[in-house]
Amino acid sequence: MKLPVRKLCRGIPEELAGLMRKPGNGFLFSCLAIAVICSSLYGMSVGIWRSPLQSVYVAMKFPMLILFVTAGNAMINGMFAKILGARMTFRESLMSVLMSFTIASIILASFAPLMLCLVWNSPAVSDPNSAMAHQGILLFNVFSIAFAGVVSNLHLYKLVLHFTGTAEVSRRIIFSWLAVNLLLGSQLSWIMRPFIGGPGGAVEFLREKAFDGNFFEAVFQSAKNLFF
Amino acid sequence: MNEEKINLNLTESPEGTTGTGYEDANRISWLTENLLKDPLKVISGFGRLPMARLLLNIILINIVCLVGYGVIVGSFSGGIQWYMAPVKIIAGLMLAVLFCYPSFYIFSCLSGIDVKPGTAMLVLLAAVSVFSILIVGFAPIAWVFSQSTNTVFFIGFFHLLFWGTSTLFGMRVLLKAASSLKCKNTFYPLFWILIFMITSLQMMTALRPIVGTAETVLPKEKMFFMAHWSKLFSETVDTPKR
Repeated sequence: MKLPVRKLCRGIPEELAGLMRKPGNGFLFSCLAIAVICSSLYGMSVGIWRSPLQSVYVAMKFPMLILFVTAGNAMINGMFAKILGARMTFRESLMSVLMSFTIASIILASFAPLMLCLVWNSPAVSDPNSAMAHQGILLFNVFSIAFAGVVSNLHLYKLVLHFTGTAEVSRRIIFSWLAVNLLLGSQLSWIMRPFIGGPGGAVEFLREKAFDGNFFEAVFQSAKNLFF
Repeated sequence: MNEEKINLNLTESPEGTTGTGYEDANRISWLTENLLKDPLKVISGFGRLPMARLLLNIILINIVCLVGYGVIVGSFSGGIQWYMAPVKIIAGLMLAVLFCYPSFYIFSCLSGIDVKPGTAMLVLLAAVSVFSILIVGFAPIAWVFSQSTNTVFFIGFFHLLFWGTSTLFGMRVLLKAASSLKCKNTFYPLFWILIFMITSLQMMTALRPIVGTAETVLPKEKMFFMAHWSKLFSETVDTPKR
């Protein structure tokens, strides 16, 4: 199986649409394989600062997060595409979102060596300055994910535009997909924490009370503590 | 300058190397001259030249130039720095290239360039070679400053200046190659250049001391390059001495 990494990154809409319309599930499985391998590599580099075991955990959690968000939102994304006027089948909308996550994973994987470089140059967990190192890794992680997210969604926009032919409709669809992906993605990442693992925290796959609270509640509480 | 769109299909050698200006391409002097004069000619020759020989020549140019510059850097402190400085400079640059290569390839594809991973590596190495050739050109100036400067901060500043200038010219080759390879969005190569510059500066900080001396060959304390330079500056202001 030849993995279409170059084609996905170049993001030529006609080429990607052609791959999506090919009979069989070859392209779907290729995207899944790339997304799993690449997000795993990035996850590994993120967790290695805390401990090798944390690295293994995050290498497992990152692909799970991507697959859960894609699968969990497949139905609503397909509905939004139809209701907003795109002539896309459910399969096409699912493939488009998966492709966007796959591109993001490829970009993240290309940042994995840089993350390793950062970890190598950061004080270890046992060091008195480890809190600063944790903040640095967190910041780089946020930047990497934001960058990968923006670029992959720009690619997704071009692809949706190819299907709809109208910029306005494409923008609406992308916005609705982004909104639901953000909604589910933020909560799933909250449940699946820790990713980097703070210096004082335990090395664990999931927190003991993983389902306790939600992402937006935590943001609200933080804002309340800060301002009131 | 070669302004033609270049073909980087390494599997084909349609025109061979005769009668196309590549007759002397196996010679290091040809490669060195053309990397400076017309880097696109070298890059467009990737499909026509014997790859192993070209790669060997590129690596040789880099090693010779960086050893030359490294010795001058080491001459500031003498002792083990005569050989540790060149070794660290080569290691630092090599590690920076390795850390940044995956993002270089992905960013090239994101910018719309249809390039194979191996070709991307050769383009990157060609750009690094231009950097190495230029920096060894600064060696006489660096030597004069090494002999007449007493503080690590100041000599470090001059090396940084030469490093930055050479990097900019090296990276210019990448931008030229990108535009010849039908790059649709220059944001990606420009952003990658920023990543590469930060990484290479950080690698030189991670392998310090390259200029000056220390108790250990590698640093005990891990530091971001900005923090290191800021600390060095504060020390220089407080107690300026060699």
